[in-house]
Amino acid sequence: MIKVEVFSSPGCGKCMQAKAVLKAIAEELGQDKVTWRDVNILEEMDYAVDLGVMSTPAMAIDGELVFSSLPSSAKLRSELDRRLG
Amino acid sequence: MNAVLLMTAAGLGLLAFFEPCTIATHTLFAVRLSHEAVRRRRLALAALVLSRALLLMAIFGMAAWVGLDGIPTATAMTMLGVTGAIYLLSRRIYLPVPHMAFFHLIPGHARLSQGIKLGLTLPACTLPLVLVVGVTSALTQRPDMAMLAGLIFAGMFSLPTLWNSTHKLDAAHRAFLGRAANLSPYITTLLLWSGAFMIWQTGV
Repeated sequence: MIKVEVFSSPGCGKCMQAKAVLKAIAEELGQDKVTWRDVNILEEMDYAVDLGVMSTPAMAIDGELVFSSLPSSAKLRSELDRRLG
Repeated sequence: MNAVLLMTAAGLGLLAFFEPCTIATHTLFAVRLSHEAVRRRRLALAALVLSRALLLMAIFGMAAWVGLDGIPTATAMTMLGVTGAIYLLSRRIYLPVPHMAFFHLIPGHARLSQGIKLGLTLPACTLPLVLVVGVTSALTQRPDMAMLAGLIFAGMFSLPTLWNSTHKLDAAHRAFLGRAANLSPYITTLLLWSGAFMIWQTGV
């Protein structure tokens, strides 16, 4: 199972868009394949810094920073498909 | 008019930090710097402040140099009213406005430090604030005052980052930043609509 983390900040419009895109793809793939959680960088600042997050939104997959900005739906889907094999 | 320009630059400059698209990037930058040695931290902060100051001094200075003889009252009110409405709208729907990354104009920009990249970028949600100060600069037709406004805007915009990089961000401070990010678009709208109301009342 793939674990996706969306790094967001309060009031961030792009972050809401990122979560909407991810939620749609995760539902399409199924909860048994992809789970995701929202990481508020103001609450988990040190974790975000450790992963190398520079701005929001950013996305980490299985603990690795993969997208440092808002990915397109196609790019995200392609990355998840690749990891699912 | 000069006093209005400088006060506007100070107020909107500080507000720029608290806008949702800015606060996270700058806070992450500050926290990363807080783990660095003092000398490296100072260099990075100087790079941020100087590059931002140069950019804004150039923008506002050019606006004043080009100049505007005046703006019809209705146009000024409409501009402030619509800009305020856009901030409110952005709370409800995602507006795909890109950041203006001026550092992309520099050859070999990939090697620039994060401080310079941040300093030479105008985040999307700060663009209307820069526009308001730019138009006010143009109305003064005083490049020297406009450049001073750029320096003040840059200083106030960067001030919270300087503070955050030298102070531990405890839970209360983080909660404050979260509340500020949620509230700032509404405060911005209120300020812009207040400006429109003042223009309507005074006709200036």
